[in-house]
Amino acid sequence: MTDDILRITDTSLTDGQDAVWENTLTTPMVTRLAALLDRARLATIEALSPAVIASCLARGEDPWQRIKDIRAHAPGTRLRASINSMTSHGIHGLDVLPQAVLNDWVNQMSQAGIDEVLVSDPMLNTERLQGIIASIKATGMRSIAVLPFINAVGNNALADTADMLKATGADAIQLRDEAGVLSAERLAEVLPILRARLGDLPVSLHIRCVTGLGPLVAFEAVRLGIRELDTALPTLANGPSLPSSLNLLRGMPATGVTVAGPVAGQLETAEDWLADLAAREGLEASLPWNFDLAPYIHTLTGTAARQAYTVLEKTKAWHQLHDFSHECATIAQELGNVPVVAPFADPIAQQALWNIAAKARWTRIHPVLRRVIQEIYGPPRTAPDPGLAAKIGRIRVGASPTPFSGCLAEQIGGVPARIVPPISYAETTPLEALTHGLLEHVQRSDGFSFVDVAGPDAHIHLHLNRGPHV
Amino acid sequence: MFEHLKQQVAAARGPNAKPRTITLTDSTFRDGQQCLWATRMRTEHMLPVAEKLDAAGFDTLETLALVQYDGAVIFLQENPFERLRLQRQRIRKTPMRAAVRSNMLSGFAPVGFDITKLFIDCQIAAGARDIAFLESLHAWEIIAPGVAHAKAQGVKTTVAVLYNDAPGYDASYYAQVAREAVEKLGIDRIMFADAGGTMTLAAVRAIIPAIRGAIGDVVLEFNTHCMTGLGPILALEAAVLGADNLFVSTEPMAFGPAPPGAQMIARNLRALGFRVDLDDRALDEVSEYLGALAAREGHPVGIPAEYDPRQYQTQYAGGALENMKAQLAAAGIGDRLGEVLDEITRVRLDLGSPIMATPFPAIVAAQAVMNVLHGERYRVVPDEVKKYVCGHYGKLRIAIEGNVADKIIGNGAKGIALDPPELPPVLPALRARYPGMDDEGLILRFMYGEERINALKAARTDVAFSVRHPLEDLVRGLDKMGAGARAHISGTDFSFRAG
Repeated sequence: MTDDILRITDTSLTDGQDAVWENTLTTPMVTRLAALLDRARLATIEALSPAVIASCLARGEDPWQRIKDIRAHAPGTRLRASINSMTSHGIHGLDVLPQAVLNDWVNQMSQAGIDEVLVSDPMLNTERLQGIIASIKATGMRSIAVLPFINAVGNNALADTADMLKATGADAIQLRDEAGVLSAERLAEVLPILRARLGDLPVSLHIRCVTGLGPLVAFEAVRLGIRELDTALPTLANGPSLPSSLNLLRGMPATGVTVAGPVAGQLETAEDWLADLAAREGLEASLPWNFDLAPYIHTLTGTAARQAYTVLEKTKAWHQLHDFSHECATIAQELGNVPVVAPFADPIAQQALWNIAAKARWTRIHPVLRRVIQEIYGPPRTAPDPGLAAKIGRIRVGASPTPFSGCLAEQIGGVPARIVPPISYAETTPLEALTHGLLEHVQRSDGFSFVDVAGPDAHIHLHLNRGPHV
Repeated sequence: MFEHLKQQVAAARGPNAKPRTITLTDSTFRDGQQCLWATRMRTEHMLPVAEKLDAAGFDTLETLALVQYDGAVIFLQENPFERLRLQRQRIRKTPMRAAVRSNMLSGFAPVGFDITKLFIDCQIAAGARDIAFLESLHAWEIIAPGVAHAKAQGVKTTVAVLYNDAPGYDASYYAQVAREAVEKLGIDRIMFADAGGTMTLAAVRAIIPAIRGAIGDVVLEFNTHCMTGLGPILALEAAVLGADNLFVSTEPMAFGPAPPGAQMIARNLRALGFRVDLDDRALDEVSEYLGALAAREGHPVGIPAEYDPRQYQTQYAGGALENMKAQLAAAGIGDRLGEVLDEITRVRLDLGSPIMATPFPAIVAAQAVMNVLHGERYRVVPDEVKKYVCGHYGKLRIAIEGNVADKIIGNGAKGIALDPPELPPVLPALRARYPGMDDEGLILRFMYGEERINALKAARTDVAFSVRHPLEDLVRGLDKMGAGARAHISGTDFSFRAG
């Protein structure tokens, strides 16, 4: 047995299902999966993200209850959540979340059972980051500051940012490549520089498989000494998502690296359950994507890339992939080199689709990008295109809008929350689920009139008199 | 990565030079369907899109190799020469490539040159304008007569140089092999082929420049497969490093175990600053057809592969491994598979690491099984192993360790000549057996026997073949409308009512 431990964080419940299934998983589904993951001796399960908060609200679920339920079902594994200081929902005063809201968010997560928090500030504002990290430290949770990997940023500039993040007091740094453009060669160059600057501060890695090379980079990362890595279960891995944990564990011996990691057998059990759920719910399992140079041009996050690629395929515009990619890059540059990460990546992708479909560019302007131009998110990194500012209105100064009175989750997710009492989820047997479904269906005016279901231990016979058609 | 590759292309081009043109060889009808459909694409499937492929701008269309002969005759009851002829009627502009495998025509026993020469002639007569020669041991003396004959007939000649991940198969080896092929055979093109899809970026970066430097202006074609997920980037890097032509397959008959996709490669080559004279939009129509065909026939399309380092560990996999498992189980030693696989690795090294392309996986495996069964290595030697060591399959470029060679020669069958025997002509006896038979008939009967050839059926060439089934789609759609739906459809000569 080796002392060299590979600490894997499973992100199936957050980034994986966000990238592949648009956050379709309900709280009962994720708690069941968390219980299975708990047996695998993972370092961490990522339980909550801003996207998951919004999707919970849309479904009438309480995101904080989700964490509590996951905590209860996965008592043996540390839980992680991610926090982003910026939003895209457009609620006035909450584009950049005030420190008070961020503090509430941190405290809520701590009370619900989160152990570690991943902190993103897209504009890398030192003061904001320090505030969030201090808030996290006050709760006793572990703080991990996100160091975004941008291909165009040189190694030393990246290391300078890492220094800044270290100075915020973060307990660890995550090198985060949401666009999946970090190559094995670049990783080999940048890691020694980061280690030299950061000393003992742990560096973890988050990569996506947008170029198809993500798994290769993951193996190389472990070979280079990275010992904290984000992954997902195979059904939710690859493509716009993260590398597969099982592929990594199964292939590791072939690389000559011996590490102790999660229990592959238990991960397989979790994967089997997830694959079965996907089949039952009509959800497509994720597949690897082909290599293409487009991601190096558009640098969209995996989630934004998937959504845009889907539109290009559906509108039979796949041959315009590189045109679209160049348009994304041009937009980001025109906006003053806005970082192509949440909350800006999706709007940039949407704007690019509009621009290439329209006769004139910027005929329509995405609301988030409008706010970027208005510098609501902060000043741009470089001078923006002067023509863009002329296309939008000025912000009225002096008027004080009514402060938003929604709950914390609404402030983060921007989705109206229905007031629901705490929900108790109980697992139903397949027979119970079938009966319930049949009874629901029979109520519909276009529902079937006659159903006869027979099984080894059940016989259901429904006959509804609908009049002449019986 | 993108900027780095673009800079390399720009630097190689020079400031005012025009973009370098990269041509593409399409292998949809050959390798794409071989990898994905196990050669089950019928001639009638190919004909509706043959003209479009011809017009798309490919440099070469690879249409047939020996595996497709097997597939056509044995599984589809089709005449492969007829397939070539029908393709040629539609493919008028782009040279069609057929192939010759060493001096083996039927199975994996070497045969006299006379029948190989006739085989080349028949393929040319049927429409091939490019003959690719595959010689897995790179023993150029074996294929020299065939290359010379093909050149004399006025067709292009391509020689495959096969990638092998093994000791001794380094950049200098490949430079030498490629140089000899050019100097001794006078070929038009070197195809550097990674049939197993196990090439690494490091290998491409070392070997392509070495071959490029060794072969002068001869066209360098790069062939890989995508089973590790790296195929596309390997192909693009090969172009950056000097390859003139890339081997592709039209999507979705691409990726996964198949070559990279034509449209994806063209798009990305242009992004790097190359010129590619391909009509991508026209190919998209072919892709739509191929996707519908795959769905209709119940065959898979290419799915991108997930990179897995275990793929590089064993080069004895896939169908060969499954056969091995079955054979060991039948012999009652299925539990010793692990030992046999370990011994395969050792035997392969002992034998100079032959490329694991047919027939060598079977030869290596046979010796490995004997070694495991009998305890003492090389105490029992299958005939093919002794023949291999004595050069019957071609002169070995990488020497076998003396002790091993001695054991094999000493313990192998005494009747096996230490020097490769002169291969007797085949045709006299064949013509005597089938008097009056045309050349194609002779070739096919030699390869497959009378019974199989008599069972061949003519390919469908009428326009009735379609991937669309409008009537079925209509009935399905009406069914979905459910009870209460009414439909009335009438045409010039029919009326249809439902509901």
